Amino acid sequence: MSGAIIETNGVTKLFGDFAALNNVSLSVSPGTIGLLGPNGAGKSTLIKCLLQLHPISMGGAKLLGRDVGSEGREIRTRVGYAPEQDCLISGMLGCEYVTYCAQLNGLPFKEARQRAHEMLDFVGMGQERYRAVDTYSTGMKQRVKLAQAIVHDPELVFLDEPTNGLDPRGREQILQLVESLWKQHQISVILSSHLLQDVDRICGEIIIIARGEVLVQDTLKNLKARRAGIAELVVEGEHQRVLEILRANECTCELESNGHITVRHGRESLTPVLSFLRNEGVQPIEALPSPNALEEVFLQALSTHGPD
Amino acid sequence: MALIDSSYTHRDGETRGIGYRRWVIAQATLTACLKVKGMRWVMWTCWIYALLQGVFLFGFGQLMIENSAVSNFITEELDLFKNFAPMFRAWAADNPRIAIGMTYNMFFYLFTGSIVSSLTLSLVALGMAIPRLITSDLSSRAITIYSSKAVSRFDYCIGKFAGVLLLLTLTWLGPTLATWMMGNLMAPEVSFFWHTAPALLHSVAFVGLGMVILGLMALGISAMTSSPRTATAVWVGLLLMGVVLSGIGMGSKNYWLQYLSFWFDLELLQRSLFGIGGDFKELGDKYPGFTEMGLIKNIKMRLELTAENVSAAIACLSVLSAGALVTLYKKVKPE
Repeated sequence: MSGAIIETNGVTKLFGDFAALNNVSLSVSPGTIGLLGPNGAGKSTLIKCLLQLHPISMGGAKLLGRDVGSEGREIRTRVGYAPEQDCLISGMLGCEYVTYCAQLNGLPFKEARQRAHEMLDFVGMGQERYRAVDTYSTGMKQRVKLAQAIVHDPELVFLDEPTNGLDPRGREQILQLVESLWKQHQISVILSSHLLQDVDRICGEIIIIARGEVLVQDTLKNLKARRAGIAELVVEGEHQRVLEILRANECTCELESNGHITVRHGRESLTPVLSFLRNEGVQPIEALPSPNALEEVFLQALSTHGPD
Repeated sequence: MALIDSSYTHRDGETRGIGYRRWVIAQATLTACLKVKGMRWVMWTCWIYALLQGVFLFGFGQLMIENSAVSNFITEELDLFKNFAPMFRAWAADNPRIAIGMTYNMFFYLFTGSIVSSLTLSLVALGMAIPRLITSDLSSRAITIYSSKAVSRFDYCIGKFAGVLLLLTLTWLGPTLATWMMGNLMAPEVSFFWHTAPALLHSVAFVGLGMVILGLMALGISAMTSSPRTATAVWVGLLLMGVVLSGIGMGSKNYWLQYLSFWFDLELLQRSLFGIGGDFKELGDKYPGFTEMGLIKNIKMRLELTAENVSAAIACLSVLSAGALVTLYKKVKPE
């Protein structure tokens, strides 16, 4: 799909006198978009306003080209949502729950049931799908939430903290699934998280939000470019020699406690650095341009606009 | 190797309209209610009760047929009632409106709304179902999931309401219809249907209105709280309070207290719809003195009804229903 998937114009959400969202204006293109912010920044509120779970106090918004205020039901047939909290229907089996969610989006029963099983396969749920959802572990709940969000084949999915409470393997699986939604199936994803590494891992565009205001909206590539000139090298042995070579080429560098070398080379690209290392016969195992760029941009954005 | 089975496929099938989605919510609501422990027993009791009533009415209908098995049994086997069947047939032939129509009307009046009736069983069923209607969705935050799907709050409430109506159909309307149909099974002649039809119409009108009012109240109470115990307690409390106030108000200066009982209000509505007062008047006109006999007179006086009584009952039921709607509007929303 071309064109913006989300357009907001001065969206404000008030809870009494408190502005949870303050004049938020965005235009978001299709892709995998990370919505970053500290706890209480307004990420979930923004998603809920876009889905009309909370009415917008001021301003307007469009989702997939349709007006949120007047075409909410039509929008929600094309959008999926996995909320942060548990929201399973007590007493239902996992497969019944996903089937029911598909039916709520208008799928006929037989197709709903078939797709429910396909989506449960997709998210890696085995025989647990025949257990009551009340008995599920955190990981299973996260998978079922993801399955119900995509069972009706939406064009856009909002995932609110989908890796919360998962072990490393579960987290990796969920991130792979989410990544594949856009890369392989062209389903745009808005990933709301306070875990920078999750967003850094799979998102192409970043929106940083704090105190109800959008602080930064840019592609991850551009954000990393802002932190160009810093790199992290992983070399095998001969650390001292590498440090000497780098210093001789006007780079500031230091050996980190994990054995990696942080290089401040001040150049747009890391290629010249790799080039003179190669000339000296050094081949780094790994070279990470702009490591921790997202974290630094995030912290800088928060500090520029005041602490949350 | 990838950790996932990336077998996602896009769909290209039809998407059904909002009526279907509301129906899906209604079905799920009924299913959840039927899963409540003890609900199936209540359901069975309703239908067994209906079956017994139906058997009685079937026997009543067969009494009108000369040489039917029932008539023959009474004539030949029960000496005490030897002359009863022929006499009753003769009376019914002369006064079908009273012998058949009025008997059916009074019978269905008792079957649909008295203390030992399918209404009482339906109130029990509702008490058991209330925690599964909206309360559980509030406590599990499932309301957020509904709201994120292609259904609005209004659609959700309509679906839930339809679910309650389905439940009450199983406990109240269904048994009532089944009883009437069994009573008319192998009816002696077509006119028998016409004489019993008013009782059916009165029953359907009362049960239909009652289902709407009780359905709204049950949903309203279910939406009041996210605690299942509290929701059940409110329902039971409302019933008990009604019984107590109705008892205090009866025959006292504070007779208006009775109107605070929705059960009492429903009974007045039922009496009005069934036209019980009119039946007694017709009976008195036809058989002067009969309605002045001790017990009959007592019943007649207790069932007397004025337009003000009915208006007050309707007003109270309307207030309760409006309160339930306001509660639904205020409480059914995601966090």
